[in-house]
Order: sequence, then C-alpha cells, then structure tokens
Amino acid sequence: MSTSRTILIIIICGLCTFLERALPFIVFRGREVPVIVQYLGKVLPMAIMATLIIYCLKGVSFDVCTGWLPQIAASAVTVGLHLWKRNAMLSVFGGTICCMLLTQLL
Amino acid sequence: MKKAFIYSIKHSIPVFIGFTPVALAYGVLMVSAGYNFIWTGATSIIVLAGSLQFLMVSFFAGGVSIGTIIVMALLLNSRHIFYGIPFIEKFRKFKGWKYYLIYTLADEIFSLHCSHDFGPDVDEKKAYICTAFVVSQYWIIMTIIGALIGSLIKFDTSGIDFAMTALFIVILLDQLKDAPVKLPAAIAFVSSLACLIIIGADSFILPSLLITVAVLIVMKNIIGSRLSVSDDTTIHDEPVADPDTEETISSDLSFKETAQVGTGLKEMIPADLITAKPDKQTIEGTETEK
Repeated sequence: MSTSRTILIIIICGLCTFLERALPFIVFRGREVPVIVQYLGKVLPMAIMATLIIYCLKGVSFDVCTGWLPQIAASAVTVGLHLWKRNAMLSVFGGTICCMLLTQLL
Repeated sequence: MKKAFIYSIKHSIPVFIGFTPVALAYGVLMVSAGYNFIWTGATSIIVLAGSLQFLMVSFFAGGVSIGTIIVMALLLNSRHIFYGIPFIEKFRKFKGWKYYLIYTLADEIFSLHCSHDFGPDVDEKKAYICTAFVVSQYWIIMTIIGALIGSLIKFDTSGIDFAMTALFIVILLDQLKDAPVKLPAAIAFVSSLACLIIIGADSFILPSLLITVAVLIVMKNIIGSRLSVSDDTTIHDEPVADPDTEETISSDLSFKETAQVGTGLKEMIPADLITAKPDKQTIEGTETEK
C-alpha cells in the first residue's frame, strides 16, 4: 500500500475520532446548555460506566468454562473486594490477578 | 502543577496496568504488518483510540474504500459522542485547554474524569489536564515500546487486560455509593445486556447507549426529581474534600444516602450479571475479539 494512502487513513481516523468526541461541544457551542442535557450530564457517567463493563465482558462465551469463569469470577472478586475495603487499587489488583491466574491455569 | 501531576499518576495506575499489554500488543501488530515504531507512534498520537487503531491495521492492508473507512471509524467509536455531555460546561471554563481535553476523551480518560477525587490543594483544571496528558502518554509511549521490543517480551500477560474492566467496576461502585438515585446504572445494564444478546457483540454499544439515553429522557421526571430532592437535603460528611461544590462531576452526585448503599449495590450488580448467564449463550459463535 502506498505511504500517502496510509497517511490519509491515519488522518481520517484521527479526524473522525476527534469530531465524535467534540460533537456535544459543537452542538451546544456558545449557548446555554439545555436543562435536559444538564440532566443527562449528571446521570450519564453512571450509565456509561455500566455499559462499558458489559462492553469489556462482551467476549465472554458460555461454551466452555474457560470462556467465562475467569472474567465472571474476577468481576465478583473485584465487586466483593471493593464493597469490603473500598480501596480502588486493591480491588483492581485483586480482580486482575484473579483473572490472570484463572486464564493461565485453566 | 507538581501536586496535580502526582495526583494524576496515582489516579491513573489502574489504567497503566490495563493499557500496558494492549499497547504492547498493538505495537507488535503494527510491526508485523510492516509499520515501524514511527508509524505506530504517529497513529497513537493522531488517533488516540485503542480499538480503532487495531481496526486500522486491517485498513492499511488495503481493499477497503475510504468511504467505508470513514463509516467504520465513526461507528466503532460512536460511544464517544456521549462522553462530552457531562463535561460541556466544565471544559468550557478551561478555555483553550478544552480542545486538548476533547482530543484525549477516550474511554479510560473519560472514566478517570468521572471519578476525580483530589484534595483542595490540587487545582481542578490542572488535575484534568494532567490526567489526560499522563494517560495519553502511557498509551503513546507503550505502543512505541511495543513496536520496538514488544516481540521480545515472553511474560504471559493473558488476563491482565481485565484491569480495565476492574477499573470500570470500581468507578461504577463508587458512583453508586455516592448517587442519590441508582436507576441510570440499572437502565444501562439492562439495555446493554439486551442489546448484546439481541444484536451481538460487534455492534451493540451504540444502540444500547441510544436506548439508555431515550429511557433516561423519558424517565427524567422520576430520576430528576430524586436528584433535586437530594440536592435540598444534602449532608456533606466530607469536610476536607470540597470547598467548592463543583469540584468534580461526581461531586454533583455525591450526596450521601448511606442507608440505601448496602442493599442497593449487592442486589443490583451480581443479579444482573447472574441472570445474564443463560441468555448470553445466544451470542455464541459471534466473533468478539479483533
């Protein structure tokens, strides 16, 4: 493939990504943010985080136990640790180590 | 500046752990496709979006029209159009820096912006900028390292990418703890699980977010009233954290209702995950990892 086409692809993908990230700012540029959007701004972080968790776990498959056990068990460990100690670093490390062990040992 | 920088490094450690294997793998993939560390670094700087960068490697190979590339790039990252909404007014205050903060508004940086927790001695604007800078540099530098020496690393890192999932879980749990109303998370869980099962893993996230937003708008009166009720009956039991009330986006929701926390959390998350298990067999066979 030609170098110029590769550069073009990189620039296009960069622009598309930036435009999507900038869209809310472009739409409400220079004016008061409507009440409904302010409301969405308050409730969306929680909703997006819930969606991202499912997004991360989308690869889970229930065909074989190695396809789901590491992720689901590690999620449970993360939730348990965090409800227990409320220490973000501990919960993330604990869950990740659990997932690594199960993935590599099963 | 120094305090904000140290804060942002501490705040972003989980992202660093989660990024490392993915970024190294990306560098290795780029090299195997015939693009050296300069191409890798340039792509990371200009695009700064993990999943799209992986997909771009297949674009480089040719056979895909520019029009298709635009559509696929827009669709793959469509969730990003929602990420700015909580920050419209905040970033506006940051003047010219808002362009940098918009450019860096990737999944992980958005998540960290949603969970800022700095003391009164750290300047808000600097905390946002430093966090965005530190995390984007992790990504850029680690992808370059991956391109340079990634293929020499033999350590088995499989499973380490769960760090990002764990980070999102932790952030959600903290948001739920502080939130006067937890319904938005439940709506998003149900909506994304339903879309995942019905539509499949490849393209569920945009429909899911659109449905979530629609439901949130329809239920504005119910959810909004609970938000504003707790606004009036606020009890701040963290005297240190917020001298200025608009400190972080989550501080808008940081009104304590300790009574609800214990039961609400335990019921909500495991239940949703457990009930999903039998149904999700329907997505078997769909290709998930690129």
